[in-house]
Amino acid sequence: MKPRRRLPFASPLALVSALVAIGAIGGAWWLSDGSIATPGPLSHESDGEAHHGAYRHAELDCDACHTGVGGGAMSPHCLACHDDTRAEISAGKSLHGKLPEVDTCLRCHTEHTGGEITRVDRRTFPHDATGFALTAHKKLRDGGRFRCSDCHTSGVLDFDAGRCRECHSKDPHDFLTGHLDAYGEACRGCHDGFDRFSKGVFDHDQTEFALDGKHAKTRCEGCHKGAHDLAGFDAAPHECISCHRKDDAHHGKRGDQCGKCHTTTAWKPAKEETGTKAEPGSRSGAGSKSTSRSKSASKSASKSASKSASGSGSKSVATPTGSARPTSEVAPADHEFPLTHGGGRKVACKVCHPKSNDAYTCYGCHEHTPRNVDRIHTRARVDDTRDCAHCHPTGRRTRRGR
Amino acid sequence: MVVRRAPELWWAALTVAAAAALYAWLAHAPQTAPGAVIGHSLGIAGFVLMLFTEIGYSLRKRSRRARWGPMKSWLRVHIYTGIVGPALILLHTSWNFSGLAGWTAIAVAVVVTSGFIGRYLYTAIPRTVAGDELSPTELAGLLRDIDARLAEAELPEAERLELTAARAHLQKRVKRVPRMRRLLALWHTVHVPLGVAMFTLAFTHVAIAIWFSAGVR
Repeated sequence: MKPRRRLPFASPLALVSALVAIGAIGGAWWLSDGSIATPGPLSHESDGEAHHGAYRHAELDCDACHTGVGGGAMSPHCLACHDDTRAEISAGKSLHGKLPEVDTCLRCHTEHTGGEITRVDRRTFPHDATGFALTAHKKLRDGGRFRCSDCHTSGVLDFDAGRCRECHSKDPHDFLTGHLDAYGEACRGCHDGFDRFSKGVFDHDQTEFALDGKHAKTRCEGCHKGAHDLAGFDAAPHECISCHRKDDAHHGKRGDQCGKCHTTTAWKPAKEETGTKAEPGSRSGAGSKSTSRSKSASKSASKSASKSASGSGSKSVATPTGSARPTSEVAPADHEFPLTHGGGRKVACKVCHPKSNDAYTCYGCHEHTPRNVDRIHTRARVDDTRDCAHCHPTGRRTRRGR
Repeated sequence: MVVRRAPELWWAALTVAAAAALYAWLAHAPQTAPGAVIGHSLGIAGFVLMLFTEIGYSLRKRSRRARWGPMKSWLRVHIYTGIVGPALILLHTSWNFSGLAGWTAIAVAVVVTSGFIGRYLYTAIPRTVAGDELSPTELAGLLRDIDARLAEAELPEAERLELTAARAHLQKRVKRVPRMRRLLALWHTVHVPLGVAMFTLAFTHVAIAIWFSAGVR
C-alpha cells in the first residue's frame, strides 16, 4: 500500500503560496491605503458646497458610508451628511420629496465609478412621481427618442415651462397661440404628461357635464375661460343660466332652469310648457311645470275667465294639461289681432295684455325680445319698436324691410 | 473524434456559450454589474463550482477509503467545472479588472491556463479506465498483446493496419512517459500553489465584498 499523500492544498508549498498571497494583499492594501478593496475610484463630483466638512465623496474614509456587517443600512449615513436632501424628503417637496422609496439612495445613486454618482435608468425612473408622466413624450416629433436634456435643458433637477412652448410651437397648426391665450402659459397646471386631453383621448362625457347638442360644438374656452389648472376647469358652472343669462329671452321671468323646457340641440322648439301658450283654464292644471310668471298669469286669467264665461270654463280645469282646449272665447268678437298668433293655439289675453285690455305688449313672448326686435328694426330704420301693431296689425311680417 | 475522447470539453463549451448568450440577453438590464442580482449570482455560482470541484477532486484523488466513481470521471467533472466556473467569473467581472477583484480574476485566468496545460500532460501518460497510471510492466504487456494479435495468420488487412498504427502510437507514448511524468510533477508543484493563491485572493475578495456591501441598499 502506497503511503497516503497529503492533500495538495495542505502541502508546505501551498501554505507558502497562501501566505505569499495574503502578504501581497496586505502590502497592496497598505500601499494603496485600502483602495484595492474598491471596485473603482470614488467620485470627485461636487455641488460646490461642503456637506459636514466634505466637498466630495473622494475625501471620505470607507467607514463614512460603509457600516460593515451588522451596521445597518447605508442610506441613513448618506442622509446624515446630505442635509438638503433630507429636508426635501421630510418636506415632501422637490424631486426627493416626491419620488417613491426615496429612502433607498442606491435606487438612483451609485459610487466607485469615478464619475457621476447619479445613475438613473430612464426606463425605470418613476417620472410620473414628479407630477409629470412621460407617457406622451416617448418619441420626438421626428421619431427620435427623447433624451432627458430635450426637456431639462439646464440639468435634470430644473425644468423651464418655456421649454414646452418651444417644442410645441412647432405644431403645424396655430393651435398653441390660441390655447396659451385662453389658458395661460403654466402648462403643467393641467397637463401631467398622461395625454388625457388630446382629441380622441379625452371624453368630456365622463365628467359630470356631458357634451351633447350645441354644447358639443362649443369651443372649450366658451365654458372654461380663464382656467389655469384642473381645479379651474372643474370650476366651470354646471347651471345653464350661468352661461346663458345673456340669451335669456324671458329676462329671468321663467326662472333659471332652462333645461325644463329647452334641450341642448336648439332653443326652439322648447318643450311644451303648461300655461305658456295654452288657454287660461288649462294652465292651472295640476303638476304644471310653469314658471312663476305664467303661474300668476294663469291665476288671474282663470279668474277673469270664470267671471265672464259659462260654467264650461271651469270644467276644463280638470282636463289633463296636454289635451286641454278652451271651451269659451273671452276676447271680443271684433278682436282684430289674430288670437292664434304665434302658431295654432289661441293665446291667453294676459300674454299680450298683462295689465289691462287697453294696453298691449308684444314683448311677453320669447320670439320678441327687445334685442331681436331692435336688430331687425334698426336695419329697417324703424324708430318706434313698441307700438308693433301699428305696422303689424295682423301680426304678420310687413313687406317693408323685407 | 474529439467529442468522444473529451466530452467534458464540449459540454463545457456548450455551457459557457449558453451562459454567455443568457448574459448578453440580460445585459440590457442594469443587473449585470458585479454587485447587482445577475452579476452577483454569476460570481457566487462560479466560485462555488470552482471551489467544490477542486476540493472534491483533490479529496477523491488522495483518499484511500472513499472510492466514489472512477478518477477519469472526476477529472472530467473537474475540467468541466474548471472551465464553466471561470467563465461565469469572467461574466461576473463585467470587464472591470481593477483592485483585488481584478487580481482575483487574473489569478483565475492563470490557473485555468495552467489547468489546460496539465490536462494535456496528464493524458499523455497511458492510464487505466479508472485513471490510474499504467506501470512499465503493464505497458509492456499491452505491446505484447498487440504483437500476439499481429502474429495471427488470418487477421484481416484493415485490422492489421489499425493494430500497426495503434502499436506505433503506444510505443511513442511509452517512450515519452518518463519525460511526461517529470513534466507533470513539475506542473503539479506549480498548479497547486497557483490554485491556493487564487483561492486565497478569492476568499479575501469575498470577505471584503461581504463587509463593504453590508447595508448597501
